Formats: sequence, structure tokens, C-alpha cells
Amino acid sequence: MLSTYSKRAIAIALGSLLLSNEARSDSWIDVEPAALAYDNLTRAQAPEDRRSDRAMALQVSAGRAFVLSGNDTVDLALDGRGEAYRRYRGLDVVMVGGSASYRHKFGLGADVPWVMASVRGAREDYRDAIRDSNRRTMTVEFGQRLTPRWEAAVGVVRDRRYGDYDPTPEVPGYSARVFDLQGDSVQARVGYAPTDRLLLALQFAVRRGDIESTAQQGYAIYVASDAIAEDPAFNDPALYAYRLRATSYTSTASASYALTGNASVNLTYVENRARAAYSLAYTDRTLALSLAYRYP
Amino acid sequence: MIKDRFVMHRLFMIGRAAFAAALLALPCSPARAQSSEIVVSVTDQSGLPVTDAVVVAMPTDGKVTLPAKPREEIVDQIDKEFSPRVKPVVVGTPIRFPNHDNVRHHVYSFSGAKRFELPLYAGVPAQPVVFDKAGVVVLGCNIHDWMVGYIYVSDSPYFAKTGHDGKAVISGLPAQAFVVRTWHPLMDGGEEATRKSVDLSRTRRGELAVALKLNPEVKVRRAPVGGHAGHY
Repeated sequence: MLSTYSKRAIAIALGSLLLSNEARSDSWIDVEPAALAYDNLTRAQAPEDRRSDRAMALQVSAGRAFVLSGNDTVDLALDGRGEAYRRYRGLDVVMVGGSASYRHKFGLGADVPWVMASVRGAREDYRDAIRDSNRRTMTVEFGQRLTPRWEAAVGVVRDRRYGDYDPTPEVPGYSARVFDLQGDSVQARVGYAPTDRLLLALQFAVRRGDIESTAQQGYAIYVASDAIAEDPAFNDPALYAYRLRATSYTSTASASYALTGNASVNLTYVENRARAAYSLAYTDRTLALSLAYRYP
Repeated sequence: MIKDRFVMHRLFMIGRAAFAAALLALPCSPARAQSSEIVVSVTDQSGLPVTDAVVVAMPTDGKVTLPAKPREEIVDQIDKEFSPRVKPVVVGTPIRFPNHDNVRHHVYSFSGAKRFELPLYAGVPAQPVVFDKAGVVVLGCNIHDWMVGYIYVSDSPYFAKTGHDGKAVISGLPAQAFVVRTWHPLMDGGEEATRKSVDLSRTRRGELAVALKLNPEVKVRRAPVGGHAGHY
């Protein structure tokens, strides 16, 4: 993890770049309010352990593109996100983060292959402190516009989540740091533009790593997990948070309709299927409707 | 007597003004008689007027006198778009590509009529690009993939571009027969299929209606793509 000094230095550097006179020239501000519906927030297997809810979210980011050459661009961005749940207010979260990405095009034209490497860090503060954490994600993606209508990309992602919460373990031999999570993914996505306004996309990702599941006590999840802690977010003392090693298969379908050159309305459906030891299997789905606006 | 002199003076002044007006009108009349025009109305498959269509009039005998040194033209870059989006010019025209954005652009074209590249630049490039071959030149920017522009390099000096009303007026034409063809970036099929004849040898004004079938525009989208499905 980065030291406090390093974090401050990075934040100051990012802020200076974004706020400098030159930076204003090719800067942007993105605002995206969204309504979300989750059908299995607990990522539980048993129907009685599943909790569904709806949430409202607002994401704001400010970024700046640095054009290094005709083929190379670096984007820096700072962003914040708030998410408020209707029922399980312990999941309400405020997130502040930053990202840097480098993109290289292998030649001239809109249809040449490109590669992009990005790093992202974020601080998340939940209403219930058990989930407070720092996240770090690194992505490398390779893509190409295949025709004027079709584009495709493949990539790898390494994600790390460092939970703050470090209570005394309740179960001997088990850690209580259920939100210390890490995983590695491979992903592929394809986009299709039937018109100049509509963009349809499908993405599929396979991730091997830790997941967190909240459920009542049970033998299978007990032996399959390596960290256990009480989870107060769902107002049910019978529910515990477990950290498991699992393989997750995430399918995402999205439709984005451009209202103007600066705004779009977006509908996204995500289905996540996780498979862990002892025949543990979880499926959770998310539906999101958002309005994305970019200034200028 | 004084009154009569005053009336005579008024009549003299009026007569002199009329004579001067007639003198001024005389040189104009023959020129008007020699100059003809063709008005072309372009519509799409829905009957709506088509903007940015280029209409070209070529004498049926194929004989045209191209300007020895065409005037330099400009295709600007404003708000990360080419302006104008469609620019018709005659063969041999030099075009500058000033960048009025506060970001750098990297303009290029792969088109057979003109392959060129203006590497990453701000401001006004030192040298214009000369478009010396007839055809359509598609412009792009390697930084902003959504930027697309078109230069129509005409083999005839007689051309015009339609406005928002879908009308283009080609004026200053000699009194002879022409073949008129129409081009648009989104048209289905080639411009040769739009050929129409107009004979201006006996009339000073010809009118044409052209219906084009336009395909939907598909280019890299500029609008942001959202869809953040939560972080929990």
C-alpha cells in the first residue's frame, strides 16, 4: 500500500495538472446520476439470505487528456461517487478516487488497433465501517474498431481491496478481514452501433479471486471461507460476512443512446455468477439506468 | 417667369438623373444576359431537404477552363469538429487547416484523391495542402476519432453546396448544355447515378430536383458512454 505521504503527493500532482491553465484546455467534467436495482446484495446462495434493494447514485469526475504524440494519449482523472440505498443504509457509500490511463494507437485512423493501460485508486467510506476500504485496479486492454459499426476489446484486470476494519477474530483460526479482497480477471467485450446514436455492448469477464458473501451460518460456507465477521449492514444479527475463493463469471449487456454530443442515457444489466468450493454458487444481478453528461 | 425657370430646372435635374441611371444600367444588361444559373433542390428518401450535398455542373462537351491559380481555402477545426464538414473545391485548390481549438489535432486522409498527414499541431500549419486530383477526400483526426470531414475536389469550376433548405445555386454559367451530378457523404450509390441534363443555351435558369437515398451515419460516437453499475 502507498504511504500517506505518497498518496498526498499523487493527489497534489493530479490536482495541479487538472487545475493548471494548460489543463483547462482539454479537460472534461463527467456527471452521471443513476438509479440501480440489486437483486442479491448479500451474494447469498440460500433464498432466505438474499437481500435486494434499490439505490440512487451520483458519479462526478474531472479529467484531463495529455496528447503526447499523434498516437499516444495520457488521461488523468479525479472522481467521486455517492450511492444511497433505500433499505440497507449501512451500504451507503462515498467514494473518492483517481485514475491514470495511457493509450497507444498502432497507426493512423479510427480503425487501427490500440492498447490501453490504466491504474485506478479509490477510497470508499461506508455508513457501516466494516466495508471501509481502499481499492486499486490495474487494467490492460487491447482493442480495435473492426468495421464502422463493430468494435472489440480484450483485457486483463488485477483488483485489490484493502479493508480498514480489523476486529478481533470471532472464530479461532479465521481472519476477520473479510473485505481484504483480491482477484485477477480476463475480459472481452464487443460493441455494435446500429446508428450513430445507439451503442450496444456485451462484455464477459472471468475472475479468479476472493469474493465476499453474507449469509447465515452453515457448514459449507464455514469450511470454504478463510475470513468471517459480523455484518451489520443488513440489520440481521444472523448474517455473517464470509470471504471465499471463487471463480466469477460476469456478463454485462448495455445500451447507450446519445441524446446530444455531450449526453447519453444508459441502461446496463450485469449478471454475476460465482462458483466456490463445496458446491457454493451465487448469482447476483444489477440493473442500472443512468444519464451521462460531459462538459464541455 | 421665375416659377417657369424653377420647373425647367427640376425637369433638367430629373432628366439628368434618369440618363445617369440608364448609363449605369447599360453595362450590366449584356453581362446578365450571358450569365445563367442552375438551381438544384436535393431531398432524401423522406422528402426532407438535404444539407451539405455537392452539385457539380459539367459542360456536355467536357470543355472547362480551370482557374490557373485557385484561391486558397480553409477547413477549420472548431470544438473538435471540422468546419465546414463538407468543403467543395476545384482541382488545384490549396487548403489550410487552421486549428482554432485549444487542443492539438492530427489531421490525415487515406483517400486516393489525396493522401496526406498533418502531424500533431496547434494554430495554423505553415503550408497549405494542395488538392490536385478530383475526387472525395475523407478527413480524420487521429486524436479525436469522431472528427470526420469531407473535401469534394471538383473537376469542374461550376459547383455549389446545398444549404439547410436543400438548395444549391450554381451561378455564372455560360449558355450551353450541362450534365449535373450530385454527391453527399451518406448517399447510397455513386454520384454518376444522379446525372441529369440541363440546357442553358435557350434559357438563363435551369431547375433540377434530385432525390438521394441516404444511409444512416455511422462514425465514432462523441457522446459519453455511461453505465456504471455500482461498486458494491
